[in-house]
Amino acid sequence: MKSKIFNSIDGASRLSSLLTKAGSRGEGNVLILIAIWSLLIIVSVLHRRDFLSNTTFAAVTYNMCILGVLVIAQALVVISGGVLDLSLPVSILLSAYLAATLTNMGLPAILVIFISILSGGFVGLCNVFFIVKLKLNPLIATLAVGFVGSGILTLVFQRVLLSYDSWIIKLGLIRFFEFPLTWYPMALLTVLTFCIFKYTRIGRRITAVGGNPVAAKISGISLRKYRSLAFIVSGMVSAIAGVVLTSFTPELRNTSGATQLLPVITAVVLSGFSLAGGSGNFLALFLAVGFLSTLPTALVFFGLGSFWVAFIQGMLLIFAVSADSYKLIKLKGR
Amino acid sequence: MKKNLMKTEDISGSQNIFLKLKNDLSGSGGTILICLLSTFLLSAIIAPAITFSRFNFLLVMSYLAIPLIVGIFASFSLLVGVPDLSIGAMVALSACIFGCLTYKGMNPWISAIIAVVICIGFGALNGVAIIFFGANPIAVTLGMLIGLRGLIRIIGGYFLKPTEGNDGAVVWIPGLNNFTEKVLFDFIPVVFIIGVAVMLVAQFYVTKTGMGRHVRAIGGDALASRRAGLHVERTKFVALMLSAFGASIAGILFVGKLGAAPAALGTNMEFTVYAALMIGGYSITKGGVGNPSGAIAGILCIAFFSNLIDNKGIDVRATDIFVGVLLLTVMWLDARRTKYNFE
Repeated sequence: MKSKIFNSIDGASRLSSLLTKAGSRGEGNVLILIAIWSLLIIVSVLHRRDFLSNTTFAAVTYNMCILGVLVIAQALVVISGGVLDLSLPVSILLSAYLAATLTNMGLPAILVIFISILSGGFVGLCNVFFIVKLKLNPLIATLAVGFVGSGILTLVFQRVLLSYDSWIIKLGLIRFFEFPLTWYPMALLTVLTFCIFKYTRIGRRITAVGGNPVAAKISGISLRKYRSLAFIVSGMVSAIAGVVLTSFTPELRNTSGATQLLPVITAVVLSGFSLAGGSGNFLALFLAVGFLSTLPTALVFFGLGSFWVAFIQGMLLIFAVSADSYKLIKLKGR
Repeated sequence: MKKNLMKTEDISGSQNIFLKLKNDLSGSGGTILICLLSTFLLSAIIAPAITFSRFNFLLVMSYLAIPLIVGIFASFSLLVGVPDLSIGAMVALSACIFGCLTYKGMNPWISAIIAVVICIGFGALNGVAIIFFGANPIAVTLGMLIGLRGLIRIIGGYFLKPTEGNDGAVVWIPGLNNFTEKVLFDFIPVVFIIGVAVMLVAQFYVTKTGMGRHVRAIGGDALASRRAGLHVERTKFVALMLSAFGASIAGILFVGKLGAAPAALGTNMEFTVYAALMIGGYSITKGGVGNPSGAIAGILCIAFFSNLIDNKGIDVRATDIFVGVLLLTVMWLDARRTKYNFE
């Protein structure tokens, strides 16, 4: 049985060494993502001609608005060496809940957005307390924070209804050149983050903290400061996604946003962000988001329900994480 | 350090018993015992009448009997250093397969075997991803967790028409139900006794046998173990399949006990089990520590805790919060104890 496993791994290893060579040049992931996204679209179109329709386009782009912002938040944590931020559902839901309730109370739009984003920063601060102050394992700490936060939010509310007259729902319905209005800030944020990480000192330092913490510390870069920064900003970015979520859902439930965690992690890993920290291409994130936003719609066109989506997303994550670490093993030459 | 030196130097004399006791109590065994006693005392103080009743004892024991089995088998993967977060979903998967197949008329023994084999198959999938590809265990098992939850609904949808129950198969197996509900001396469920027996076997294996020592060595330092000639990959693989096996058995027992296989079975069970195991001395961040007797102590702690919450009528949804806070506290204590620093 073991030899069968090794044989199949052998075939996969030949493919993966090809990809690894491309990956070490930094372009591999972008190529793969373009390839699988195109493949998905082609296969779906071949299956059913009406895949290329306005409704599909709308579904995909709406999905991209939220997912695109969330992956940036997650990527921030990953690149800074925080492994993964599993408290994402809490930061989205808390900010979405605040945005919805404050809008219902009649507060001005600027204040609503400001407070919601701050709440994301608060969740980030909680993570910082456990990870930077208490020095707990970030994966389990964020998981536990997510757990506690979800529990608290479930107790606090069941659902919040928003009327179609409120500014936030109207915002969610505006479309600009066929794209939802919120798509453009998402794209802008991706480009902005890419530039920050490539051209600024802060970006380089955060990457250093993730890639080689020992060297960074010796060079005088404060690990605590930059890790805290990464988590807090990440929380605020996911809070932005929470506001966008509220603008799309007139009926906010206490389970909203929970399904986003897995696609987010998959997208981040597929874009080449190593879970060991310190590397990753923010532009590739955009492609990964596109692919993962098209996936649920494509699966529906193939006649598979939402549970199939969950199953395939789970298996896709396992595959993505495995491929990512296998690449690392090959590069290290173990 | 200093205490240990004193312990090994002073070998003679009965006045040493106090020192030995002090050393033992300050170690990990001591903290477990203190945890257990304090939960029990807390429960006794806050709700004395109910705590000491036979009915309550039976309730607690039957509540924790099946998670105990899950915990003992999952403890092996923790010992080897590979946390498996998908055990709750595997419990539900095995319950779903077993329930649906038996509902459709298959012989319960055969459907049980099929359920166990499929679960072990997914455990092997975890193993391939984590061991052969070197992926992060928590990320992989998280993906498996969510993937399996979807799969459970797919299987349920395939076998059952919407009128037959959206939530899962409802199947009453008298023989199995008798077994899971059987109680000795009016307050100890048979399943609990079996769980304790499994724990004793596991305890013996881990502490007294050579192979058990190998398992602990691999968890403690995989590289050194590989260089010493131990089969690191094979042991980790087997550990993952074992935790899947334990979960599958638990799923089948749940169907016997509940008479149904709800799709939401075992939700968050992985967190309560891991919190229990960590109270009991295991560590998620560091393998090679902990033993099964600690597992049972940890599970007793959690069970008394939940029991207290139930008895006091606190909102069930609040238990999630308690478990999360408990997890964080235990993690912090564990980190201090094993001197783990995320630096």
